[in-house]
Amino acid sequence: MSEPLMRVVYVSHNTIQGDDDYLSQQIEQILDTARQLNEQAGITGALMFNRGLFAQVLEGPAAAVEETFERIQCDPRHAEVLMVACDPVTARSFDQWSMAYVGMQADVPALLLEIASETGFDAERIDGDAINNALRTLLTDSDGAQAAA
Amino acid sequence: MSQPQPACLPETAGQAHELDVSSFSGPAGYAVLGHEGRLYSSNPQLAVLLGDAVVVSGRLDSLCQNGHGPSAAELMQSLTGTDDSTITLEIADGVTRQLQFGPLRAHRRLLIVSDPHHISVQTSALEQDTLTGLANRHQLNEILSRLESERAAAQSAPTATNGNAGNAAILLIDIDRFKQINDTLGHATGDSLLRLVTGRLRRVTRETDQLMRVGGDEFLLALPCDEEPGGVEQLAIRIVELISRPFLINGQQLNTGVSIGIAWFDDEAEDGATLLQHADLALQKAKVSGRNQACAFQSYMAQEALQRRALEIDIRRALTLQQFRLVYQPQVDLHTGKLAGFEALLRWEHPVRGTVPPIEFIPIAEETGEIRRIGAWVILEACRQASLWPAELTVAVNVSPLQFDDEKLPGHVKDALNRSGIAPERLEIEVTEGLLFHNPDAALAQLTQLRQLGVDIAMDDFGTGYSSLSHLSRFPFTKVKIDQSFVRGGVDDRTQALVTCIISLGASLGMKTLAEGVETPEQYQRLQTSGCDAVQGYLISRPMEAGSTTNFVDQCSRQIHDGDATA
Repeated sequence: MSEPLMRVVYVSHNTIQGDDDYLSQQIEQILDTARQLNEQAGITGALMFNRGLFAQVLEGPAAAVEETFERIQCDPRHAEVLMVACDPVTARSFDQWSMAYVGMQADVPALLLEIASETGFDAERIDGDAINNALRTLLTDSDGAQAAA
Repeated sequence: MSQPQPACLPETAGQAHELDVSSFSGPAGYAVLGHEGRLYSSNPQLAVLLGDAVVVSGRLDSLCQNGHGPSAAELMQSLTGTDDSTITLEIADGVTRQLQFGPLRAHRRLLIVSDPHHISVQTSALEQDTLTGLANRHQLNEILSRLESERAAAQSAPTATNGNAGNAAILLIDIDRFKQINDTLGHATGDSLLRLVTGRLRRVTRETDQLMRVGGDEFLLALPCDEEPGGVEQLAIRIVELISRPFLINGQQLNTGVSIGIAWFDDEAEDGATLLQHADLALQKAKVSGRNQACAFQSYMAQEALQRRALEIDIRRALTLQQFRLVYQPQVDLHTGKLAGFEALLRWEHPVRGTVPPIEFIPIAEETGEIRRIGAWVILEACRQASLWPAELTVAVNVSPLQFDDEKLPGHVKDALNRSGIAPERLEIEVTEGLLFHNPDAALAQLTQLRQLGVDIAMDDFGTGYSSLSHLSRFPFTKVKIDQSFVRGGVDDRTQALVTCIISLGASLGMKTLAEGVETPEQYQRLQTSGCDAVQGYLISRPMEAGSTTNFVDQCSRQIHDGDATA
């Protein structure tokens, strides 16, 4: 690996309005697009979603991460984006997933539950590494996650 | 444009104010036509786009006579119809023109001719911003005059408007603290940010909207027409939110925001220049209201700007018209109980405005730079007045941080001392802590020069603001003035502890202390016991006219003889 790697972790508020079916459909669409584009760009990562919030990890070559992040930023389906980590890294956490997904039903650890519960969401206190690690543990240890195609 | 309803209009309704398009500027050709194809008026651009024949013959159907033209039937349909219609016409090989017909009053038709390749053809290198690829300032006038022409045309058409809906609007979008970003993170990062902001703005603009970069960190978005009420405001709010999202540039997170001023073409803004001015006023409002927000123009903003402009002009004249005067508030030495001197305070008496408080005109005089002239006069006048008092009395003069900018202050002071003949130690220059933030190096150099002249330097309003101890030790102050908020009213133990602390701090740094706002004998007593050197306030006297000072001085010396300075 020649190009330096970078990891970005952010949380944002969901702005998609609608019933569960519609939400699922939208998430499906987000993941489809993400997986397609990410694979081309050499990006891997994970997305966690519940009704209120998104938490996402993006990792890959710095330029690609920046471009992907900017594309996601313009998406009207979320708002109040808060970047909780943005660091150079030596290895990927999600090298098997162009975009792993942790949904509402998954058996998520306490930390992620706390992040995901809108009440008591203290953005300033959230640790990007902690999110990254919790998602990684969840995805590698359980079969509750859906690996990317 | 919404659907016209020509049937509702009497045949002759429009004749009295027949639309004249001959002065319409911009890249489009305009013509007012009769149903039979006769040209009633046209602008010069029409001949440029369609050829002279049409204008010379005065008839649009002359277009049908060359091989390329539309069929006579097609043209007739567009001329006699009551709806909007568009014909694309090839006037020469590969050269096309778009002819848009719209209804006017009294069986007239409005024709707008455009070159569909206009934008790409016209946006030459000069008119394009190389960094963002957007149109730049050179195109601004053209775009504004196009909006203006379209508006004039739309107004002649019998369409009902609903508030601002249907009116063209512009958004003036300014990146908050862009200079700071450039300065701290470098121009390359600043440039990347401009490109990313452009990208985000493009995401929310429609094809018919015009986005351009009109300044270093300023964009203008021209919206040809606002279809629904509130649509423009919603777009602006969306832009604010979108730009407030984090940017990722060179592995670093960058947060910024935009302030937006919105203005519409309406009864108050009938031309592009006014429209731009309105957007700018709204933008200023958005900035002073805390940035990272959109603000729509309202008429009161123009009023305020006018009033402000009038005030600026009045301030500029005030010195020449001798509307300024100084009043003097006595200062008493707490050790001797004797009158020590006066602080000179500026007053502005305007024939119509009446007495204008300094708080209202000083900030404006500072912004316009007029403060330097006013400030020089204040020093001169205060020294002249002091020369009429006994030689032991001092005069304190307030100096604005802005007066240090042109480095002429020491010269003005020297001049005032020479002309009045007073000893330098009788003059005290009062500065606020703001000066030391404004331009610390220039301030230190000039304050040192003033000290070398023998003039005293007081730090005003100490205790409010930063009250930095390092400022006290770094700059050559001879006196600290304790702010009146520590003196007035019922003083609690903590405040008293602070006052005592400032007094002993001053003493240990070799500075005198003077407390302002002394209103009661108790306060006087307390400050005296605490070791404060001097006081001023209503207990001693309110500020008085220059003419009353000599009397006051006499009175004081008599009271001293009677042994009571504070009665």
